[in-house]
Amino acid sequence: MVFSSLFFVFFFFVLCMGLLIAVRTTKRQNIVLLIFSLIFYAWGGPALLLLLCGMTLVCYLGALLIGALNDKFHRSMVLLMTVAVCLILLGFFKYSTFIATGIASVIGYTGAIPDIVLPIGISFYTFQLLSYVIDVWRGEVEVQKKYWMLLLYASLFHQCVAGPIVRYSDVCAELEKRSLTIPDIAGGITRFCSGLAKKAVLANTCGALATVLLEPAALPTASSGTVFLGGLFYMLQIYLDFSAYSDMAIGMGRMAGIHYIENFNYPYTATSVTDFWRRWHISLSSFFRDYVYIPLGGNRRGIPRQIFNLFIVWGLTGFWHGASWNYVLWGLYYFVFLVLEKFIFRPKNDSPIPLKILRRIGVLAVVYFGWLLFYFEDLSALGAALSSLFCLGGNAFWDLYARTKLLNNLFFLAVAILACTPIVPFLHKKLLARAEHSEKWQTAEGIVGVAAPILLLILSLIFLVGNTYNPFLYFQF
Amino acid sequence: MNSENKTQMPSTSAPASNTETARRAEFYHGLRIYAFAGTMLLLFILGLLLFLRPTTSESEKRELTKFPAFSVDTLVSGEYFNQINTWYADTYPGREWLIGINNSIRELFGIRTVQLVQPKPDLPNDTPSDPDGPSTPSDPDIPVDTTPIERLGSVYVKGNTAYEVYSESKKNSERYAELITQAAEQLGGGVKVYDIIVPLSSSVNLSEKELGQIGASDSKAAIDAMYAGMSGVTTVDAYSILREHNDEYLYFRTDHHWTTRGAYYAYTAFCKAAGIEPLPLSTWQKYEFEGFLGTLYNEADQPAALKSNPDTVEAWVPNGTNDIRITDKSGASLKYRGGLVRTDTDSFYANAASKYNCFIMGDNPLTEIHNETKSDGSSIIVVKESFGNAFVPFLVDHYEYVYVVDYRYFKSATGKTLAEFVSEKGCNTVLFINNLTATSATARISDMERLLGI
Repeated sequence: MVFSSLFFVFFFFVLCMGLLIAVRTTKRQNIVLLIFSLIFYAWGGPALLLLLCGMTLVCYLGALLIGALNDKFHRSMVLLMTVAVCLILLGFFKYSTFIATGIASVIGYTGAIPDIVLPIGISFYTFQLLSYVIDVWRGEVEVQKKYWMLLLYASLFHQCVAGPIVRYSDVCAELEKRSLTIPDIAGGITRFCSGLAKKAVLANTCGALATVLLEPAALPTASSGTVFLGGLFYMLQIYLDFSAYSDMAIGMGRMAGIHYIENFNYPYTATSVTDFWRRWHISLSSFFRDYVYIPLGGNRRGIPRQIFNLFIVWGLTGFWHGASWNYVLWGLYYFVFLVLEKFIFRPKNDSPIPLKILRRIGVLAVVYFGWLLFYFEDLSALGAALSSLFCLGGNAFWDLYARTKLLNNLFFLAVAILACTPIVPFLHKKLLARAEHSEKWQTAEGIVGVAAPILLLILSLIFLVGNTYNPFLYFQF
Repeated sequence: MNSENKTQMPSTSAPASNTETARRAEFYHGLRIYAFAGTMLLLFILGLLLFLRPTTSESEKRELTKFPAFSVDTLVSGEYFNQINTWYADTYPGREWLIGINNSIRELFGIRTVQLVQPKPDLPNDTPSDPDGPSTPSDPDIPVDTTPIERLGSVYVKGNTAYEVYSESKKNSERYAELITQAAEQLGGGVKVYDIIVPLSSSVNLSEKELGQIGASDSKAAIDAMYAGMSGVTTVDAYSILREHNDEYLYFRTDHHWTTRGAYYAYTAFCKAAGIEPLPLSTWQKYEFEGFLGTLYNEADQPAALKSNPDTVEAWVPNGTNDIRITDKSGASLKYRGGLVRTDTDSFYANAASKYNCFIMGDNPLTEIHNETKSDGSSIIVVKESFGNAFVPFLVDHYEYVYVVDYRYFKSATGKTLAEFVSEKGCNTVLFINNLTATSATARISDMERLLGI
């Protein structure tokens, strides 16, 4: 099930919230959440639920054992085995087709390529469970004695299938005991509705435009403007889509009294590539930082080792996104820019303003071409797109098609771009500042706060009715 | 967006006014929760009111997704539940109205005086030859036409006019010419075979330069090549006469079909080729049906400029007869008085999208017309898709019998091939009338092969 389906919003979620309010105690709420989460997960194929429950069981038992053992060596061996089982499962379900295809192309025998359906959210919940077991081993969290509570953590429908990658240590206290507060629920509502509208109105429209503009068959003859616009709409789509999912997850969490970490911080306003990665998919990059980069020695073992560590982290980051070479290249592409930034072109804070603007444009360009690399799993299509983008194939620079698409969506484009900037929080802050001193402004702020979520909800309904299927982009990872 | 925290924390410096502020903030937070919960509950209940859910879409000309039938297989694969999601969103109460609003909002996305719309992908439940489909006119009160629309090329919208753009498949064009030649061979020397390839609105109305800009294939060259590829067939040049008269209302502005006037010029070209004296339009009683918003209007997501300038369907009723006998998709045969050109179209096809159905009651596998004012036994078989519908009435006064075969459905409804049907009726004239998109569409080529038993 996807968050942006009417069935989810107006049936599943309403039922779930109704029951949560009806049962009151945290324990009963947990039971409701668990049941709804398992139904949510089983919706797309009940068999895959077994995998989720199984992997949770492995981590549950592993952590129990680690907690019971005193001797460091044995604890580490159990950890190693638990992590290995999880990674092998992840590897099998996500990467075996890719690896087998690779081997087949080397040995020239293609009869043994398995056809495995990628279980939804496996990349997300595997990492969540890993963080739990490792943190238990590190002694940073208590062992969870109840299997169903760990299953609740791993399967919680708010974030199970597309993040944020919530660490057990961040939510374990709230899973045991939490209370609902009025400001939290109100804030959650606003967050949920803005996420829904961001997805239904902005991301889906950007996605539809990107798909027609980057139509593979037309790429070799498409005008440069067409390809450029297609890439731009994709760049907008991927942020709006993914952050919308996180918005909805965080919003639903708050409505249920659980606080998830922020996953995005306006990445397209980054001042450097390093900064971009501090703002993009924060829960993933911090996972790699804390569980791969720092354990490997981080920057404490000299520059060559640091570069090696970065190489590993970014190769893995790329590979995590999908079993295809373009994702690995995409990760390594960022590795190159991050190393360049760290050791050669260190961004200075006191540069003159034109230089700062230029640098931001440069960052956006790096990110833009990164997304092109990300978009085309077929590298020859990427070649065709780049060739058309730079007019190398005798194609036009600009044509009627690009012009009509741009003019037809000019105002929409402006709104979508603004939605990638912190303009709404900025205006809201201004409004709040005024409201502090004036009752009139407070009333205005209050009314906007009541009306905006409802309007966004209705708007989303209008955009989702009759819409057959538009999964979130990050479902495939 | 998540900075509400600020208002909820009373500070110690000015307690009185801040308590008041906090109280008011809490009031609005509470109001927000109630408003949200109320709206959600309302929409939840609305979603449960099954009797409000539509089952067909007039604007998209299709049946909406049905609630899935339960099976263990689809349950295990997850398809069952996914289908429920699709059904829920596809048939939500008020969908057509909400989609209309959606399209009006999209009008504001940019400057939309010129648009190029790519062909839409097939919908999952788009089943062209569904034998259980509800679109059979067995009940005279059911003029909901859910026959899937033909695959269109991309749509070009300029001002208040939408054009279908021709995109040629050379392979299918060649195959089309081959098939018509084979049909002529099958029917033998005693049967005269004619072929009319109908150009699209863009080919007839737009300048060469503009056609180039929108990336249209060359219609004239394609038609000439197909005609050159046929043998034993008398080809009819409709393109030239239509192009010559393109300052007249030959194609709808909101639909991919030609108008009856457009069909009339093709009729005069056919008469010339067949050695018949064409009758002037003034021969017949004329009717007009206003407020037609056709396929292109929906394909281009209902542009406001088209909506405010709907088409008018003109129709001329033959003098010989206005009755037809239809064989529907289930094979049942029914006679309709006044069904050849429905003069009560505005009430019978009240929906703005269905006005073109006034001719021979839309697309049926076989339509038989008997002109009792003639008794010479003359007959013609017209093999067509929907472009032929507006054309057929002009033939009625020239023949005692006109048989209209829709090659997409004929074989599966009657079990006969064209050759079998021709010999059964002892007919010696067969006219193929096909539009350019059909000659390039793989699905239509397969339909034609099925009709010919190839």
